[in-house]
Amino acid sequence: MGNTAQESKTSRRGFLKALTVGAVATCSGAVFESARAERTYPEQKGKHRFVYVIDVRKCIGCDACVAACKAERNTPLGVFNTWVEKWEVGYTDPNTGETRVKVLNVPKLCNHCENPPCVKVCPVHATYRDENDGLVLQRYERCIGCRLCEQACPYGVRYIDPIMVVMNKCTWCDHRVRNGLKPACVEVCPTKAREFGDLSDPNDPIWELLNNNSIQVLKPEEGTKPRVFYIGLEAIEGMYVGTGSSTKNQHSPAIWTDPADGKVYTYNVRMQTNKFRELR
Amino acid sequence: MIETHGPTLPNHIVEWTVLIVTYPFFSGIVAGSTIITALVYLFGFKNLQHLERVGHFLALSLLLVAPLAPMFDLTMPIRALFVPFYPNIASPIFLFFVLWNLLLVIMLLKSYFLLRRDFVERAKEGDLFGKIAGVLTFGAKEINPEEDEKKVKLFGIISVPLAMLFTSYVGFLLSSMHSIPLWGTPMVILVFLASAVVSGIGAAMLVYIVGQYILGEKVDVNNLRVPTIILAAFAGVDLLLFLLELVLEWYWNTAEWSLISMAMKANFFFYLVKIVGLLFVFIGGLSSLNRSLSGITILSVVSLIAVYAVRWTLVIPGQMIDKGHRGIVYPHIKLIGREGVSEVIALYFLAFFLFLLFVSIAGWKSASHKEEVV
Repeated sequence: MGNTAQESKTSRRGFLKALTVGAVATCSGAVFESARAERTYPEQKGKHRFVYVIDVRKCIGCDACVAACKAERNTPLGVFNTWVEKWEVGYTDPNTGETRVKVLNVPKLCNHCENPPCVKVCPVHATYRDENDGLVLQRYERCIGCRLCEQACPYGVRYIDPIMVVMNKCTWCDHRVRNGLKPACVEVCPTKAREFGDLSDPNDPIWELLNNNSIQVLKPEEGTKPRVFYIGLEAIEGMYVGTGSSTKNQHSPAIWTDPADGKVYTYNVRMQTNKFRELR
Repeated sequence: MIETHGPTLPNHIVEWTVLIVTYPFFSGIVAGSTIITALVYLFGFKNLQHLERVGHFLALSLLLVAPLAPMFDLTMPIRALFVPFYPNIASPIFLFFVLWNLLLVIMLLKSYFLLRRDFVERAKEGDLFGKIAGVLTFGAKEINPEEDEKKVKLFGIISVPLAMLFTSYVGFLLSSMHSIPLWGTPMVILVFLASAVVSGIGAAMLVYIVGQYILGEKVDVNNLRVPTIILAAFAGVDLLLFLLELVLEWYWNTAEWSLISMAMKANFFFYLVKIVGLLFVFIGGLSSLNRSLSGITILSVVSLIAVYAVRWTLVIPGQMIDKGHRGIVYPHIKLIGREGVSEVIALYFLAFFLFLLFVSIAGWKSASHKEEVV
């Protein structure tokens, strides 16, 4: 009788052990599998496939887009959804000694990446990629304000909204583009340096721009697959541009030699001024 | 006004400041004090049992306070409760949630079996803490100390790797930020682990020595020699890892090195405290300082200050480097308000209060220790 009780106790213990080990293995397997799956996002295949094209050769740096964005999205003081950087590119041909300088106005905004690092790190899925059109958007009512997305974003486009006190970002004016309009910044651009289109539509004029020009993206080495395409940044973006600026309190211009053709570029970069950062 | 140096992206500010510096400091002490647990239950240093008990109280109180630091840092603190309801397994914060809960359960189980005998004894006294202790016995009346010690040993051993994982999670979080030059390296995790051990042993020894001094009891210095030597060894490892990380940064992030050095110069004081402090603990802990009580006390205090500087240098300089890699932004440390120094001080007080509460309920010394003295 004692033996039977002992045996049944032993078998129960063994069963419980096996059950615990099995449960732990299943749960950890599921966790690892989901984590692996979420490391890289699959290609977005929705009804729409919005892309944004910026031709820096056409941009005159009038900041009308910045003003339009502030008005359309009611963006508070001290934060920007879009801004225009001024890059001074000096170029010397070592063969002729001839020096040329050109100024590029480089508009920046959220890249609505296909593989968005901000979505991956969000602990509550407040930032998400809309599978229907590929827009990377924010659920304001769910955001906890940990600012992990801001740290993860390599483009520095995310910010804490001083009024809502949660993360906010450029939405490519989702309220407009989903109703057949273009984003406010595209609409106001006087030189058509900013273009917006839908790759799922074969007749969209954006295809012509993309097919006829050399296209660059910002920080391709980050593997984020950005969907803001730049025209006119050949051999410029993607390489190191140094801490250069000509104004006081700043470093002397950085010099970079292109090993391919021996040309020397110097850079002065002037960013959007923001004297109200502490408002956040 | 927030100061900047060079062209910086307009949205960039140093988002995480003193609270996020404090969080890994607390979690590091939790993890480090489990090293003493490992010494007692894995390596058989039975004479460290009292130190282990003090370390356990400290770890438990800091484990309860630690998540408040990142929670206060949130712009919407109460929404922290959303994390288990909308889980994103790929997010490091979800990992934190899982690890913190697991560690808390293990630590509470360990506490129960470690302190059950004390609770039973304490419940016989009719005061308020006695009544609380009576509730905490969960109906247990007759205790077999040997059985309990086996369970304490089991949960203690489980808690060691779990606590290490818990503290290295912050390192994991920082090293997953590829876009920030000072963070995106796996070395960060190792630095977190090594400095956790230093601060954990240092804090446990300091609290133990101060507690014994207040109660007018003698501290056996010979008992503290082994933890002091381990403290010194890990301070050396920490220093070595820091130098290695520096070489790695210089070698791999050549392009950003001017910015990295600029951010480091801006935090020169903290780097100085870190290097001098760790060097002092390393050399002092292996010299004759480990034979005197005052020497060990100084080593413990210096180790805590040095590790705080380590946490600062891990969290702040990385954020100062602009995402455009062209300038740096200086941190804006507030005294009062959200993410202010006042919140950090409040957390320290809370941890101290919890520690006092645990000691009041369970007693500074264990029941078996009291019996031995009698």
